[in-house]
Amino acid sequence: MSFLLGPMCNKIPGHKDMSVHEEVITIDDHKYLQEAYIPLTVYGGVTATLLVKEGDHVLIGQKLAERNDNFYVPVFAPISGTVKGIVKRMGSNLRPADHLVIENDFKYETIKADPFNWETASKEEILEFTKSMGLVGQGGAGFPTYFKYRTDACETLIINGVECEPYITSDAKGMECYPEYFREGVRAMFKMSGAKKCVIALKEYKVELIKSLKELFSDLPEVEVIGVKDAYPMGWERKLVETVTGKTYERLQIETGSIVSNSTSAIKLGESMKTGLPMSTKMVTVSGEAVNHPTNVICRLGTPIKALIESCGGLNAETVLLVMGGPMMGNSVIKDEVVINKTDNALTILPYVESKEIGCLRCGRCVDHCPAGLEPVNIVNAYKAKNNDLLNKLKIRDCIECGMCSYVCPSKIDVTEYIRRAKRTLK
Amino acid sequence: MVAKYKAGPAIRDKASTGRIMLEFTLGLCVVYLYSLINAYLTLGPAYAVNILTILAASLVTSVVCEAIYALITKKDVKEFLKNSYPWVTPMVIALVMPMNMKIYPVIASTLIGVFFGKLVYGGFGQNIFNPAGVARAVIFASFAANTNPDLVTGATPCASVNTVSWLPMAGDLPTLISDFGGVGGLLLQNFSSTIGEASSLVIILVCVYYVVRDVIDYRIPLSYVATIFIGATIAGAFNGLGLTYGLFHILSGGVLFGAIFMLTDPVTSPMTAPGKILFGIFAGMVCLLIRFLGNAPEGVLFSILIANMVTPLIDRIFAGKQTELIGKAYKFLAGALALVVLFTGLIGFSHEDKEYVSIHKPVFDHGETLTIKDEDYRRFNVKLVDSSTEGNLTTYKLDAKGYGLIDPEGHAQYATVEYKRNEFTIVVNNDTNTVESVSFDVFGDTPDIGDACVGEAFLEQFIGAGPDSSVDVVSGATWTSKSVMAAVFYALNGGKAYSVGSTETIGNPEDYAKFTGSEYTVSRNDDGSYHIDVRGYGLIDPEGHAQYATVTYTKNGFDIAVEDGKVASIVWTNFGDTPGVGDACLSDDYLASFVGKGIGDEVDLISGATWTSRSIVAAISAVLGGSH
Repeated sequence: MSFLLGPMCNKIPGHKDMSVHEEVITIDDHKYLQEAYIPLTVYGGVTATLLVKEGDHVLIGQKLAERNDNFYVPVFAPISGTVKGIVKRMGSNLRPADHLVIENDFKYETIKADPFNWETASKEEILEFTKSMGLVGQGGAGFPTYFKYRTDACETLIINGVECEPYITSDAKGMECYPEYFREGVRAMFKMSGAKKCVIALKEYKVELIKSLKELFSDLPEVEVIGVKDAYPMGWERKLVETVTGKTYERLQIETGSIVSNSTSAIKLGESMKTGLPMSTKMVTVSGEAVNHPTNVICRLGTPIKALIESCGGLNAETVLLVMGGPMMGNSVIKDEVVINKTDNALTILPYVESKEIGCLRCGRCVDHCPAGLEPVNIVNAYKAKNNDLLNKLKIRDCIECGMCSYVCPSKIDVTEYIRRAKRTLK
Repeated sequence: MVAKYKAGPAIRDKASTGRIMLEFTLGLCVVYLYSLINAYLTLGPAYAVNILTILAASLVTSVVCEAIYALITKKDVKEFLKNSYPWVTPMVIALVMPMNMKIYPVIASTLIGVFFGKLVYGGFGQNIFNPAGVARAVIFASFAANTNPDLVTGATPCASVNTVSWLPMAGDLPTLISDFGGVGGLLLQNFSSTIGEASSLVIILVCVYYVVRDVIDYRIPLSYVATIFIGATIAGAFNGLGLTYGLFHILSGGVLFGAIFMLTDPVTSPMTAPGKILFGIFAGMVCLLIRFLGNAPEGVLFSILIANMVTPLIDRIFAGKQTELIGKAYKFLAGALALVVLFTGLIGFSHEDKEYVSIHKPVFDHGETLTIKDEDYRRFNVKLVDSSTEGNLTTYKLDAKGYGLIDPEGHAQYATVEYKRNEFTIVVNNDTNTVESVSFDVFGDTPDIGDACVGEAFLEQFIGAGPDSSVDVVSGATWTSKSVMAAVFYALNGGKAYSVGSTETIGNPEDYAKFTGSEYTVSRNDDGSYHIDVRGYGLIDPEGHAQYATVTYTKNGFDIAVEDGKVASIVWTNFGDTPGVGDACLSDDYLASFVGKGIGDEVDLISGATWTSRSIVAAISAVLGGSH
């Protein structure tokens, strides 16, 4: 922020109180998980190679499929039961996608597994364990966690507990409910990263949580818990790295000597080390004005969101927006058959309000607030004029689709959506 | 449950264009109401009615114009009007109208502003120029004289300063600013010009509200006003003007109004932060150039319209990724600032001084310029009526002859006028020997001719004047003017109606012989005083007085009373010397200077009437000598 730049972020009402103080509930599998639907599409939109066939009996933690090219991303069974085949169901991107169906035998048998002791393990062993557990970034992007840690240049490990999307509280709730998993996960990550310092970043107003985390890590001087400004998108890796280290990077965060991992990723790593099993459950925030009883829900992967909605007391509006994730970056889906996957951390349900786009006022709010420093309005105009050269000059590829430009637009123009379309025309 | 699809993000900020326009309107209303109430209280109900009518006419014209446009282009009229904010432009138009404007030019310019300034480009959000600016330019160019004759507005600071120069002389700035109530006055007052140039303070408060509520971007008004302030201060610094001069620039004319209500119009200004700053600097420089070099009284309006024209260019300059354009932004802004400094420096450096004439300074027809002490004051026969001293100030009550009593032939045409002496009160500062004030108590000269001399305009020249100062006489009332000068000289001359040239000793044998010869006689009057006739200038210096050939010289006659060998009193019985030259010696004051003097005492000779003075000394010498 300076005289020559806008704020490049924005304070957006968090609505965190709606769910953060509520009791965490667990989905009744007998009622909602007769069958689990496991999406076979993994990081990068690639369909994983199937390793089981119809009729196979699978156990929790058994590998069902994998992507194994430049990234290794395995898919594991979240329940024990029988493979029923593959069906097309609507994915969270609104496209029909292959889902593996597993009929639940409600025995929850697991594969044979031993806890993993990171303290006796080497950096490489922790890296291998993380890779084998198929841990992906829990912040939403789903980037394979092990990939970032294959470096010796890390100075600072940043644990991202900022959770800047409105409504979402699952990261905070996870740290509150699973302090031991979190502590062990962070320490393992710290060792894996080879960093000299670890910074756990939370929004500064979460005073209680910051205090308890400081206590949790009080014996570890290399771990620092800090509060950051309550602004969106503070949890965006580039923004967070800049806030914590004061450095910016061109392509990879390791250029600044830092690695950013989500706090829930740490929890999930901690959990896996304790059980020796890959993650099979997820804590999801179900919130929004259209939900009767917003709260955090623990469900198995492959549970349809219908189960989450009903477990939270149903909806209070006829026409709603079902958003997988937070309201800023999440996708709205039109069917409640969509299932919870590894990276889903929230289901935001809002009453549907028709909004009408009017003429652009040229006010420049989107320009001032764009966290990437782009000029959204110019991108929209270049897209409408079909000027691809200009789109490249405007660095459209640096857009992270954070939704800020649409959010701030006083004329209610779907700026972000125009930019998404413009990006597609460049592909 | 029905789940609908909507492109993300799913939530939107509460701020809407409608809300922004509404809050913008609110600010305009505050300025308008302040101006309305102010006009009602200070100028009267007729002005308030006119101000109300201007707004009503502009509003109706705009709404009707936009509705007809919607009908013709086959749009839903209600929806079109809702998203076109047709009340904003006419409100700004009303605020930039002179408050005494007639109504039909308001309607005409609104029509042009709304149609040619806004609708022809496709309506709200598409226009290139500020529509209200377009309307104002039309008024300015075509209807400037169409003001309501019943409603008269006063001078504005811009018009006043523009009549001389936007760069007044250092000594004139305080007068200029005090003409408009000082800096405080500039902040608070409405100068009866346009409706919206009400109080700068009110406009600043509205600006603060706008910035806090995110209605406008602070960068544009800040860079615009700062550029004008800095540029004016630089130009002024070359002419000995201080920061107050910069303040005068930003507090006068429409600078603040234009900066906050017109220049910030997002539709016609750049979108990026550095673009907005560059835009403000550019507009500020255009305003300064028009003010300093152009002949329009004001630079704000056209600075806005010209800056509007470069908006697309500025947006192109800063198209890209903002974070990568910072270096470019610094270069452009530094370049723009350097140009401002260069131009204003050149203007300030090459500026010629012109005197500012206060709007409160009534003018008079300037005649010839004369030095106070050089005036031929003797003939005006100034007499002291009364004087009193308090501290270093002495107040003289004086009277002097004026035109009517001095020039009997000249004023024959005004035979009906009964002339009296002019009477003055003059206060002199004895420390500096300068005049503090001059006023007429009695005006004895020809009415309607010498009157101008009574006026403040003429008398003000004497304030601070010393005997060596020059003043302009009132053309056509030279005699009356000189009578004032004579009285002023008297007061500055320590209460004497003459100026001392040299001195002489009573009883000097040489004088005694030259003026009396051997044939003089001293006769005794009934009251015991002595009478004597002696030669004066005319009878002693035949060559010297050739220029006064028409004068028939006679001897000067005196009655002199003596007591204990000293002069007790002396009066003229006959004045035989050159009229208008030796006259000074006639003054009672001068004669009084001989009282109490005897043989061997030094006495003053009047400069320029030395011969006549010496004839008095000779007479006294003869009488005192003879009485022995």
